[in-house]
Amino acid sequence: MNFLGYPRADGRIGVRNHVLILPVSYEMNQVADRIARTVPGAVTFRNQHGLDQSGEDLAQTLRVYKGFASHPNVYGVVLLGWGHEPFDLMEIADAAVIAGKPVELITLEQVGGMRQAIERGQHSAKLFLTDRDQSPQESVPLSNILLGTECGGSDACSGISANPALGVVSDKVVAAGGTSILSETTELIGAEHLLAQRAVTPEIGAQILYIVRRIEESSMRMGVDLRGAQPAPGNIAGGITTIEEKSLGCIHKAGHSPIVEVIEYAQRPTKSGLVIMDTPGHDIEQLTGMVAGGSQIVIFTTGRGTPTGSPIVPVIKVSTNSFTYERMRDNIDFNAGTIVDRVETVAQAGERLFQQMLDVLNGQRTQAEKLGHREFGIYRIGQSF
Amino acid sequence: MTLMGFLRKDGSLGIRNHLFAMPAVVCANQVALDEAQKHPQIKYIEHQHGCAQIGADLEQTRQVMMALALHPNVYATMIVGLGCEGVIARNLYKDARAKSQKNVDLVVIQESGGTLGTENQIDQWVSQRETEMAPLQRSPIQWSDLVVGVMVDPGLAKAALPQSCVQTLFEAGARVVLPANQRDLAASWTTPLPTVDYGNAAPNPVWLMQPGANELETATGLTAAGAHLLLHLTAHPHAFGSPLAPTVRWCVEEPCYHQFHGDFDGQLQDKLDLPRLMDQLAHIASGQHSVAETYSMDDFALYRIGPTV
Repeated sequence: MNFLGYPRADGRIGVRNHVLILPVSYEMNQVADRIARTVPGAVTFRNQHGLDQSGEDLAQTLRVYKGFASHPNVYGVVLLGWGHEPFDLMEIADAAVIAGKPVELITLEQVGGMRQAIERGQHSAKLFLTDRDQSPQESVPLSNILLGTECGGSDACSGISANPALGVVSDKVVAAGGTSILSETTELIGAEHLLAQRAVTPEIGAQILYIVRRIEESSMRMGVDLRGAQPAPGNIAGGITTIEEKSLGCIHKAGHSPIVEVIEYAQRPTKSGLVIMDTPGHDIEQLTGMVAGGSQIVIFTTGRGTPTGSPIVPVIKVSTNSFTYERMRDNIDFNAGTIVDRVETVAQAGERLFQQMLDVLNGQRTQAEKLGHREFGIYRIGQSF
Repeated sequence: MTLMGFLRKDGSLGIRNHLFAMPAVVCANQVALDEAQKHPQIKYIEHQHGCAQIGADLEQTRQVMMALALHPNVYATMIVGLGCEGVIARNLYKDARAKSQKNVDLVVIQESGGTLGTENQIDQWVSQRETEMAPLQRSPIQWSDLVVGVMVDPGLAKAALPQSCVQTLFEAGARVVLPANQRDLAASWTTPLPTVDYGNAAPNPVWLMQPGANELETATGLTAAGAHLLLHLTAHPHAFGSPLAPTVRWCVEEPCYHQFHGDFDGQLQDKLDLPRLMDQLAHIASGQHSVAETYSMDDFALYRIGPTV
């Protein structure tokens, strides 16, 4: 099974060809925003991080920057720095260069101020946008795909309609030699033993149990028992009664494939197959982590309905029920409520979703892309307590 | 000069008449962003919070959002919720209405037909509020009606000139809020200064607020604490400002000012500059735009005290 992609110098395949304006600290948000607003076609996001960070927390944030700068869906990068960030800006630029991308590094300090930074950025972005049209597209096998799976605003239907349908897609990607990421560790709580049994080695099984324990202990330090604080108010209104129920529904997204690897937030998988990335349950921090890890496409199931998307990756939104699909047609791409309505089986809906994923890989725009959604958020592990 | 501001029906006093679109959760960002592009007069924030937060961290986020929604420089706030967020936009709205006579409205994406349906509702809100605002005029106010947040580069708090700035603002009658890690700015005070949590106000003429983990988080905190104006003294160029409190940035180093003068509102060399600074602050309070406002450098970062889950 093949799709039309953009082969990149590092061997990865892009399914989009974005020019990314990447602010590596909040100091450059406004400059990035002005460039993206005035150069149609360029994409950016709002970043509230990148200064006053250190240690593991900084390392994780830098993984996200490098993951975005070198991402296969990105053609070229305008890298914006203040000039006093506590890390080497060249390291981020190099990550993009090694991945074969044109890069322009602009710092406020060197370029001489905001107006100059905006003008220089506009100039480079326009240049990259012209050049990107020459990027060749090739028909490539599905084994090149790294699918991110996600659920948010879960309801009582999530575990019986949209998530199992996504599980079918995930299994098909894995069977084709591709990779699928299951994440949101918070929503594995209560189901971790089942996942551990699916690990290909006992060590990987132990890692699954470890990351679940770690997030529970992290919230215990805040004086909150996650098993008591979840499900969220919106989940309860949607008919979910316990965190275990939510988790058991959540893991259906990952189908039935064996688990070959457990990776940290924003890391790139080293193996093909089903992998688990340790992320929080927060929709956008999770999404950002999977994108930074190299996912070229994300399928996101939702019971209550969510509008969100990524600046550089198409996100296919799947509703778990027909009511939400009808209510939020602007935002939802696919209705898996047909399963609850008994119009389709899980296998049929899964096949239809798989076909839709192929269409999107081949260039069909998702609702979030049409609306210009650009949510971004880095999972911070070093807050000042 | 005479300061001119807007008197509010709730007794507060603002130096801007902002329409403020405030997403209660990251999932509502795009609505606020789209609306601000469509109606450039709208102030907005874009952030990654409001969901998957717990305990004291969730509570602090709620309090900061509440304080921003009720900020004195805001004429009307539209809280934008998704419908399943942890901060619960509807509760924020109810609490804001119970607490104040401020014009606070609510729109919930899941109940409004998604992104575009929600944006239609906000379009109507903008035209309704703008009609109400059209006849409003500024009237004379005093320095004592205003709160000024002051922040400086690390290390500058011990310098004489920034300390004189704070002293001058105080002598003019303004109330002053300072980041608690820059208490040296108020070195001349003989009485102890109260220290409150991030984003909180105190009734005192001068008070200290727990700072954020970076300068933008601190600017957000000072704004939430009720600062009408932010004064930022620094030896570096910056490209951020508060969306709600006009941010006035003066450079304290000659070479930096020389190179980046377009990014600053002025240069502070010695005490003789203080009357010029005070005069400019009075003009900006009365409606003149600071450089940060001219560039719309509205930015937002929230100080978090707990992990995302």
